[in-house]
Amino acid sequence: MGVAAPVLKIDDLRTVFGKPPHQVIAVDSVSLSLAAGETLGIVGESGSGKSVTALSILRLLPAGSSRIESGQISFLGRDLVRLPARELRRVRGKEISMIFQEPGTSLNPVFTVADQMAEAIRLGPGGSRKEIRDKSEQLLHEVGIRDPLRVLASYPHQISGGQKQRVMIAMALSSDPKILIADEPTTALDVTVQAQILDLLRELRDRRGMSIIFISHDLGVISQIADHVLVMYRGKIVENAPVLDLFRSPKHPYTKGLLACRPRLAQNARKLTTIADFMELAPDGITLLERTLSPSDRKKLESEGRPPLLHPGSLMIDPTLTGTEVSAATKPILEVNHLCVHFPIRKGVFRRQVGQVKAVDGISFKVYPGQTLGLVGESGCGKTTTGRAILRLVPTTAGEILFEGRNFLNVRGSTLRQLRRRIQVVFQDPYSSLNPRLTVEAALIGPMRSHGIGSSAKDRRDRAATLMEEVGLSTEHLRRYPHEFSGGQRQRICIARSLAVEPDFLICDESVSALDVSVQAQILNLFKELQSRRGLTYIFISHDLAVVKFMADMMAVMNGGKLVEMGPAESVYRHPQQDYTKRLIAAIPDDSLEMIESRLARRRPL
Amino acid sequence: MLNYIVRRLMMGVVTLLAITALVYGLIRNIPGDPVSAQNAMNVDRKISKEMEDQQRRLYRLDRPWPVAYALWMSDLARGDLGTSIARNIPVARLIQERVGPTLLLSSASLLLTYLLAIPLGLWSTVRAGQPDERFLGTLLYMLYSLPAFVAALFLQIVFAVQWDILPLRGMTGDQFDSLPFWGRVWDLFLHALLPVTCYTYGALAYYTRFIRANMQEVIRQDYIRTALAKGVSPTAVVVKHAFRNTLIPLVTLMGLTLPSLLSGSVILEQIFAWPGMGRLFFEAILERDYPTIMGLTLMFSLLTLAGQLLADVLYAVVDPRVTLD
Repeated sequence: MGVAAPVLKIDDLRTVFGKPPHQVIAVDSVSLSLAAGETLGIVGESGSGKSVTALSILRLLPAGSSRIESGQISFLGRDLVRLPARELRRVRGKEISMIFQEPGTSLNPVFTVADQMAEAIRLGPGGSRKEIRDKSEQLLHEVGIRDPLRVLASYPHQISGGQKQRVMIAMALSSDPKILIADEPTTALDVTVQAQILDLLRELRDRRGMSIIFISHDLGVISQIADHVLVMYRGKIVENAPVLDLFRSPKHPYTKGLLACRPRLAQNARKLTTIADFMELAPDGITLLERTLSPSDRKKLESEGRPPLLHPGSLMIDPTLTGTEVSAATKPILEVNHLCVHFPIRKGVFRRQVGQVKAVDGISFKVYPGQTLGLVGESGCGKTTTGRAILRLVPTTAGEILFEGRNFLNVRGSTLRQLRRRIQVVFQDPYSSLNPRLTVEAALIGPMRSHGIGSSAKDRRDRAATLMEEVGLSTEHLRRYPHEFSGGQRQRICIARSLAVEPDFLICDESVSALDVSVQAQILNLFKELQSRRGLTYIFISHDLAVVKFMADMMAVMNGGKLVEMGPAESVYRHPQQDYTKRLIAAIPDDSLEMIESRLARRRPL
Repeated sequence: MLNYIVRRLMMGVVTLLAITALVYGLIRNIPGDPVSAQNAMNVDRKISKEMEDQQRRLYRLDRPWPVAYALWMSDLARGDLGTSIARNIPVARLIQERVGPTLLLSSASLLLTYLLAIPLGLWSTVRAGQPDERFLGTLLYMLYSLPAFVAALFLQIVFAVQWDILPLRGMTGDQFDSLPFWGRVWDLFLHALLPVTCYTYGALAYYTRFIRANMQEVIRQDYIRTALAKGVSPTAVVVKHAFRNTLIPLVTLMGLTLPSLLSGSVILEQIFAWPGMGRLFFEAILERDYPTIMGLTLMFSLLTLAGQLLADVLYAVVDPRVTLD
């Protein structure tokens, strides 16, 4: 594979943000080379410098705050670092194209897809109006859009996230680029859509023989597409190996940690390994010390914590399941009966209701105290609306929600407040769910005060301090504002805030979907710890079946507002009854060595 | 969209009824009425008590205000705005006479503001942080904080008194009627120059900063990075991709300026002796000229409602994500 001359070669690249003394070295002496037709994966967590490396190639970083301090980026004999702006523009989008993480915001909202594609084609191969139109249509067809004419006439908000990313890819392909840089192209998408986009990229790459730089925080995703993998950590490349070697025998402790922290469908771990199990920072703050997991530590990951807690009668149906049953005498803490949430569609001068969107359409389930119910399904299946209906954040059309036998939908006044205290929520996006103008202390104490928890101001402050330690942060953090924290830390703060009012029921709505896999593992472990310490009951909502299977005792699969399948998480995974569930399972990236080998074997020789 | 407009118009009628009733009730309840106001002005020509009562009956001042309001409404329904008490000419004609001069100043000023503010705003975005942009920004900010009446007096002293190159006040010169067509246009132009300047400079500062602030936000968006990655030139990125998105808040602002097009400015029209709507409103209040006040109120309310509707409709036109229904 290394025979072909490299199309792109980066030597000793150093990209910095800010000016001294507040300078941050985002990319530190990075060198890499990309052969024609090769797919290079770059993996690392947020802040590791992987995206900055990618953006440095086309010099797309904000000019005011960052600069490439030294190094060379040679692309077919030209040094992109020193290329005049005008000539660089002829490389951008023509010879090297790029697609980004957020398809939702990467397309200009005020222009139609046709306009935006036409612009790309005009800048590239060009052609008459008709030729451009035909080329757009043909490109959309190539990226697997079944109704190109409708999509061309649409504005970005009228098409789905997956379609937007396909449009981005189509645009990137318009000039037959030699290199496609894909910066976390599937991170914002559902697992099912992620699998489709990965299929598409693989197929396009093989058909067109282009090189790809594929960036992700998730080694599982990288394993699906890369020939060669670079692992980045704190601005540096810490490991550089062909994909199979990397998965077979990872060298660097960070790589080992990344490989181990993803929840795996086939495993029955009760706790996930994290990066910290493989390495720690020496007291000097620079050197990394490797740690090894002893076999007994590994054993503990599978035995520590409680076994799955199943609905009464589950073991009778499938005696091979591990876990214990809730005793038949136990009453469910939450019972949802025929819940419907319909949103009206109104039309006409008098806004008469002419129809409805059935977001949640007659679902029923029970949750027993101390249990975790996983709700899984794709975007738009109604899982989030279900969670919100239970919290009474959206009005319910029909059905009942019994909390400890009392219909939560009928209570009001102080009873409602009391129940609100007991049912709390942790949302998906830790960036937007914390008020940026409140210190962490204020965010934790506010809910306590409004629910009369804690005897005095001092007591509440002490409780806040204890909570911070409970979620793995420290007391000094109380005085800080949300923007001073990383995504994972913010999610810990959100968890602390929901625990501040001593709830016994927590709804986690995609609470780990916006996080890196390495951080996700820590937060998932935290949720489990809190559950066993506080006896919490969870509804855990996610689009990722592997995450739900790790967290949940019972799993409910939703599609089109209905529950299509429900049962112990283990048996839903092992014996899925519905095609929809099977699709969700198949979409989880499989990074087993056999899978990687067979994928590489199918790869055309470069 | 049509449904939305119809619904908004129906709500507009209700709002109009509420506004006019409120204003009618208020002016009828402030001390003094047209008759006493006229008597106060003509001290030497006192009229008899019977005459006063007769006049009050004529102007429906003897009726309780809700009844008088209902009668005013029924006149309005027949298209009759009534007759100005102080000037004894139909209110509709009075407004018609005054609209022209005000519109001349405000439309010239609005046009000038947009023609200058858009390029300045875009230029400020591209040059953000550079010394020349900072200088312009500071200059505009200083202008923004300078009151128009101060600037007006200052300009009058310099251009009309000291240098004597522009007329001091009024809309036309003395020999206006004897001038040929282009002579008249030139005369009007000279008279309008100072007032238009005073109308414009504050708005210019405001709009330029508004555009710059919005552009600064837009150019940080992901889709701007996409455009750059496609190889679009920096000029096209600013003018096409970024400005098109800044247009969304800008048109909303445009709709809301509609009432100010006709309302004129009391102070500036007074300083420049400009026969516009602002002065008319001010005088009508002093004279307790109820029909004129009501006529003007009705017009401003209509324009405000129309402006808001226009802003909402334009918003949906420039932003494809918004649908009115």
